[in-house]
Amino acid sequence: MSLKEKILIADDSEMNQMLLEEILSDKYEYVMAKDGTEAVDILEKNDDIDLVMLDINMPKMDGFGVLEVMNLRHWISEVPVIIISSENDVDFIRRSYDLGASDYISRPFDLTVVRRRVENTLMLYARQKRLVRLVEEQVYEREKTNNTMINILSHVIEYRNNESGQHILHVRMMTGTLLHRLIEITDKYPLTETDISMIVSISALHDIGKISVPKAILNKPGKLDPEEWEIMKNHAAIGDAMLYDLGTQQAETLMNLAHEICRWHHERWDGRGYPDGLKGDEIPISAQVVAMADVYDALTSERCYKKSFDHATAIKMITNGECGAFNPLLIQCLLDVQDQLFENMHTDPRRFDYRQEAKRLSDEMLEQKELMPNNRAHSLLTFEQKKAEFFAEQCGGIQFEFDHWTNTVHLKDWNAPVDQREKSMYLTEWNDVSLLSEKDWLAMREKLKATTPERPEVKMIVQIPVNGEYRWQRLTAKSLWTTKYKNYAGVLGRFEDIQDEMVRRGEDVLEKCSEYSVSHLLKDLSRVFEVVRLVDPKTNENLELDKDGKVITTPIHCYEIWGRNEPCENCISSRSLEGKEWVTKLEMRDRQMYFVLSKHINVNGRTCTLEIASHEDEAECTRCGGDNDAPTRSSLMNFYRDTLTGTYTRLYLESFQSNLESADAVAIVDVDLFKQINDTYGHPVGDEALKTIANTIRSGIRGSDTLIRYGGDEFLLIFSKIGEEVFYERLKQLRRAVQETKLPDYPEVKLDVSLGGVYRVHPLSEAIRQADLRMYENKAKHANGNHVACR
Amino acid sequence: MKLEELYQKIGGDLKNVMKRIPNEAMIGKFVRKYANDPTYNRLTAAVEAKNWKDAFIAAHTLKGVAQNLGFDRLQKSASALTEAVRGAVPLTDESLFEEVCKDQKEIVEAIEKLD
Repeated sequence: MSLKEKILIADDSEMNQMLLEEILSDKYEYVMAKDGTEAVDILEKNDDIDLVMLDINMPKMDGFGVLEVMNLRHWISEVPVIIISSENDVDFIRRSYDLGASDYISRPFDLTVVRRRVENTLMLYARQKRLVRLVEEQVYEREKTNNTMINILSHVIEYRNNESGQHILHVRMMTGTLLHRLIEITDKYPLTETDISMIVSISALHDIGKISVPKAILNKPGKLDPEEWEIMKNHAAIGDAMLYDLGTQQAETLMNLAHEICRWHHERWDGRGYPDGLKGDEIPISAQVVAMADVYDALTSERCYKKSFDHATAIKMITNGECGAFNPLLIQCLLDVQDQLFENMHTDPRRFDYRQEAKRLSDEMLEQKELMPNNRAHSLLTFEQKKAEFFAEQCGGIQFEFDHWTNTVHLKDWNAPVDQREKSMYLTEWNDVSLLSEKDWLAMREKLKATTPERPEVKMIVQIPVNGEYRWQRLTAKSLWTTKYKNYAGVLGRFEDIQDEMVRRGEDVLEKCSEYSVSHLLKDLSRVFEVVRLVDPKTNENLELDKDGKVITTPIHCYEIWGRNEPCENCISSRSLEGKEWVTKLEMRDRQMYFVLSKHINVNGRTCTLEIASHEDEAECTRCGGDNDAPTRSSLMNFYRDTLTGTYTRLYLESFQSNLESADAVAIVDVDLFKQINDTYGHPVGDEALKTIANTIRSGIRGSDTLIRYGGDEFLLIFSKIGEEVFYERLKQLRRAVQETKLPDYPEVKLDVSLGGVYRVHPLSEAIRQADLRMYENKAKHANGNHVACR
Repeated sequence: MKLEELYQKIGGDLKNVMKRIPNEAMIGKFVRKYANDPTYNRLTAAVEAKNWKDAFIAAHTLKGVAQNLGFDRLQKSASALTEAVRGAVPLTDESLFEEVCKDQKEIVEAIEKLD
C-alpha cells in the first residue's frame, strides 16, 4: 500500500495537469480527470483521495458541479479541495468557498506557492482525519458493547416466548430506520443522532413486562379469552412498574425513555390503545415508532397464534388502519422506507455494522463540539486542588506563581486578611511586584535564569516589607518546565518569615563566641560602627584581643571615650550584665549625639560587654541584602525614626528619657490649622506640610538638640544646654522660619506653628506638661490675631 | 533558437516565468509539449461548429495555459476572446478569433525552431 498521499487533478488541459504534476514532483501520487464527470466518478470509486485540485471551467460538469456533488455525498468534509482556476473574479472565488473549497490558487502557477499550499492543506486535513477517526473508534466501541448486551438481553427474553430472538433486533432496526426518515421529513420532533441512538437501544426493552405473563398464555396457539387478554395487556404497565424498582440512581434520560416505551408501545393514535388511552401526540414519539415497528414485525413473523404475512401485505394493513392507528407522518415514513425495510428483513440483524452509526454519532458530536466530559479525570483534579489548598495554607507566608506564557504573577499572602489574600498582576516591568529591592530582584532573576529542569531550585535570604516594617525572609523558588519538551513554563515560590530566627541566630552567635569568631565579629562591626569595643563590666576597663585571640585588659577605661573620669551614671555595660538583651543609651561627644548599644557576651569563658556606638546623622538608607546577619547603623536609627518626617518618635523619648532628663529647655510645637489643610487640600498635602515644617525646624536647631514627633501634628523640642534668652529667641526664630516656608506645589497654603516653651523645669514629664499648656495659650492668642512672644 | 529568444520573439519574458518556476529545464520541457496541446484545436473546432459554450471553455483554458507558460501575447488575445463568448454568446467580432490564431501560429513556429 502506497504511503504517498493521492491527489486528484481535475483540469481539461492536459498541459496544466502535467505542469502541476511536475511542480508537485513525485512526493505524491496523481490521478487525472479531464472533466467534472470523470472527477466525480473517480471520487466515487476511490475513497483514498487525499486532495482534489479542481479547475472550474471544464466541459460536461464544471468545478462548481463537482463541489455540489461532493457536498451532497458528504465527501466535502473528508477531502479538501483546492481550486485552480484562472478566473480571478471575486464572485467565482466566493462561490467556491461557499461550496466548501478549502483554498483557491490563482494562475499563473508559482512553484513555491503551489507546493506550500498543497503541503499545508494536506497536513491540516491529515490531523483532522486522525482525530475524527479516534472519535469514531471510541463511539464504535461503545456502540458495539451496548449492542452486545442488548443482543444477550433480547435472547433471554424471547427464549421464554419461544420466539426466534429476532423480534427485538428487527424492532431495533426498524425503529432506527423510521426515526432517521422522520427527522428527514419533518422538524416536528427534534431528535439528535444521540437521541435516536438511545431510543433504538431502549426499544429492546419494550416487552420486558412479558416476564410477568404466564407461559401458558404467551404460547397459547388460539385466541385469548378476555381474562387472558387482560393479563397479556398488563405487560405494558408491569414493564413500566418494574423500572421503578431500579431507583433514581440511573441515567435520567434513558430511564424516561424506558418508561415511555415500555408503558405506551401499545397506545393508538386514535386513543383506543392501552394501558392509558393516550391520543395523538400525547404519546411520546419514541413509543409511537416502537409501536409501529412492533406491529410490523408481528405481522411479518410467524407466531404461535398466526401465520406470517408478507411484506407488502403488512405495509398495506398498517397504512389502511387495519392494524392499529398511527401518526400520519409515521405512515408516510413507512411508505418512504418500505424498500429499505424489505431489504433489512432479509439481512441478519446481528451483522448490523455499527460503523455507520458510529460515524453519524461522532460527526454529530464533533459538530456540536461536545465531548463527553471525562468525569473521573475531572473529579480527580478537583480533589488534587483541595489538597494543594490545604497544604498551601499550612505552609503560610507569601506564595507566588509566575506563568511565563501569560507573563502574570499570582500572589497569595496568607498573612493578609482573607479578602486581601490573592493578587494577580500582569508584569510589564520586572519589578512591578515591588516586593523586593532592586538588588534582590536582580539577584533572584539571575539565579532563576541559571536554573535547569534538572536543577530548578533557588534559595535566597531577602528582606520584604510586612505590615510596614522590613522583615527577613527565606525565599525558596523553583522553575517549572513542560513535561515533554522541557520548555520553561514559569516559577513557583514562597517567602518564609525568618525574622525571629535571624534575631535569635544573631544572639546565639554572640552568646557562643569563640575567640576566633569574636575578633572577626569585632572587625565586621567596626566596618559599620564608629566605636566597637569590649569592656569589662566590673572594672570598666577596655579589653582587647591579642593576636592569639586571648582577652587582655588594657589600662584604658571605657568611660574615657566620653570624656569622663568616672563611670557614666547610666553605664550600660553594667546594665547589660543584668539582662541578655541589647541595652541602649545616648552620649555626647564633640557636640554630637552618639547612640550606644551594649550586650553581654562570653569570650573565652570571660564575661565581657560588647559595646557599639555610632553617631546619628541624616542617614540615608543602607539596607543589607544577601546573607549579612548583622544589624546596620541605619536600621537601628530607623527603629526610632518617624517614617514621614524623619524626626524621632515617642519611642525614642521613652527609651532615652534618662538621658534627656538633664535637658535645659523643652518646647512643644503644634502645627496650626492642620485639620483645615487636610480637609481643603487632602491628606497628601497635609503630610507634605508636616514634612516641610519638620525640616525647617530641624535646620534651625543644633546637633545636640532633639526633635521628636510627639503627636499627629505636634512636635517636642528638647534643648540640651542653652541660655534662657537664647532659648526664647530661638523659638521665635523657628516660628518665623516656618511662616516663611512655602510648599512648592501649593504656595497659597499658609504654614504656621504655635510654640510653648519652658526653661529648666524638671522632671522632663513636668516640663512637657507645662510646655503643652503654654502652647495652647499661644495658640488661642494666634486665633485672636495677637502676635505674642512665646512665654 | 534558445528559450530566451523564443520568449522574446513571441512577446513574452522568460525572466518573469522563471520567477514563478525557477527551473528553466522544466519550462523548456513544457514549452515543447505545448506544440502538441489539443486545446487550440478544440477551440477552432468549436468556433467552426458555432458551439459557443464549448468555445468559451476552450478559450478560457487556452488563456490559462498561456498564462502559466508566460505566453503573454496569446494570453491577452485568448482572454479577449473568452470574454466575448462568455455565457455562450455568439462571437460577433471575428478579429478576436483571428488574433488568437495569429499568436498561436507564431508560437508553434518558434517552438519548431527551438534547440
